[in-house]
Amino acid sequence: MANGENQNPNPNPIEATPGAAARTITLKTADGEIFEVEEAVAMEFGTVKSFFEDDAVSATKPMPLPNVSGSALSRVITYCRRSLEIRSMIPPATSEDATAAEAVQGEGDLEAEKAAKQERKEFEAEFLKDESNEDVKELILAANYLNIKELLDFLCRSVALRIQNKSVEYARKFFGIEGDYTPEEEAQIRQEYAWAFEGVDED
Amino acid sequence: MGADFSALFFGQEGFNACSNGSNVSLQAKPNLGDLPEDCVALILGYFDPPGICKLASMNRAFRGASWADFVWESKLPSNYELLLRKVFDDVPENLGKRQIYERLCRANSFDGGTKRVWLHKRTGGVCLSIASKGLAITGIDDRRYWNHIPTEESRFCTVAYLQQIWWFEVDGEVDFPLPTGSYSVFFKLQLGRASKRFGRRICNSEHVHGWDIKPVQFQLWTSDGQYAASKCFLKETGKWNYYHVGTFVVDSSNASTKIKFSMTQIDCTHTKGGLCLDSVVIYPNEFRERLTHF
Repeated sequence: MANGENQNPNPNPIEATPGAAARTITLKTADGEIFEVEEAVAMEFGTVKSFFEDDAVSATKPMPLPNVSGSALSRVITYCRRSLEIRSMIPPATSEDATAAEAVQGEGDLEAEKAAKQERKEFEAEFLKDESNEDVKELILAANYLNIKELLDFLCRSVALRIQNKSVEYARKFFGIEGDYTPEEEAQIRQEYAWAFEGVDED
Repeated sequence: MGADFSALFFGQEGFNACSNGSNVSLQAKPNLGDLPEDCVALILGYFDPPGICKLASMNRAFRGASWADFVWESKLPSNYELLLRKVFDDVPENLGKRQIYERLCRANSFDGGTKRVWLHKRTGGVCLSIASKGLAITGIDDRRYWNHIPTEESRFCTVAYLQQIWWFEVDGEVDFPLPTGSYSVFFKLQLGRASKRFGRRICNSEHVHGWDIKPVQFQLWTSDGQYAASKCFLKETGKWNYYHVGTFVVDSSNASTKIKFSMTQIDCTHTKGGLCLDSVVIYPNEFRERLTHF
């Protein structure tokens, strides 16, 4: 069964049409898995969003995602769902309910933002904890194909952090790259980039 | 074929660092090395320019990604087009952003060669240097007081050397489109006159005197009304030091910033001398810690 469980009983359910039950959108992955996703979550995917904005197609037919596997999509949905939850922890700038406590709201907002930041930090650390490099690659490709900027930025940032301040040899092993240059070509490339390392920056 | 490379992404440092003997295309499992160029470019964007260039030699995809315009656009100062126009008479067209960055990292001259500007390679911060010949030095025309001496220790190949004087005053100004940020102004000075003898650097301090009697005053003014001043005693014969004048802030990159600065010691009850004046430099404030000695 596709994962459609929202584990967090959110007091402020994310609904496209308030009052009505949350609409779901059906997605079908490359390996034939069917996912029913809340509309709000699915709209985080740029490709899905434009697909449904282009023609007012009802969500009866599953949208095919030929470049995404079931396991990757499952992880992506988990991320987007959690991300939306965290974002909803921060009250919107212009509150629709004009309450009497508006003066207090400013301070409360800062606290909420801090809490949200902390939650995001913990969630992101946990999210990639047991992922192998292949899994991460699948996720990057999925996030790229589905056009989910926030997830893509997070994944790329994490990869960059992993090889920051490490040698090129380390990076090669980490990425599983065989250099495809001859020694002559490599020397030429280093020449091309010599400017970045030469000269005196009083530093 | 080498062992399956399935390192944990986070967690232990000691992943299986075995080199995979087979060609990438023959591997059963894809790995991060197969990422398309645009994803690699996104990853590269998180590195500083030297970092990007270092990784560019990894393979063709990385090299290709290292040329991506959007990556370098984020490293360039926001007003780089203004900078280009100030520095180059004919701004070359059709330059990729990476090439623009590279060009701007060179110490480009302006104002008739008396001033240089360059980007700090790692941070993209704009740095300025005004040569001694670009400063207004009181008494510079009198060889009893000041002389220009050639030296390989200066990026301008020449420094102004003070033998002795009563009224010590050096003024200067620069008008430049600095990007938004805060900057520090320094005078680059040395007590004593250095030269090379038999390959060794020696410093002649015979004329050094008067700097321990009264402090030197440094000041700066900007065209938008900022002012900073500081005072200190010059010290440490035989070594180039950066003396901090003050800091100023640029809050609009669209205009040119005009900065005036001066260094004075005009107490005429004593003479002072034996000083080498190399230049005045203006650096992004984040470098202040590394340069200030006092």
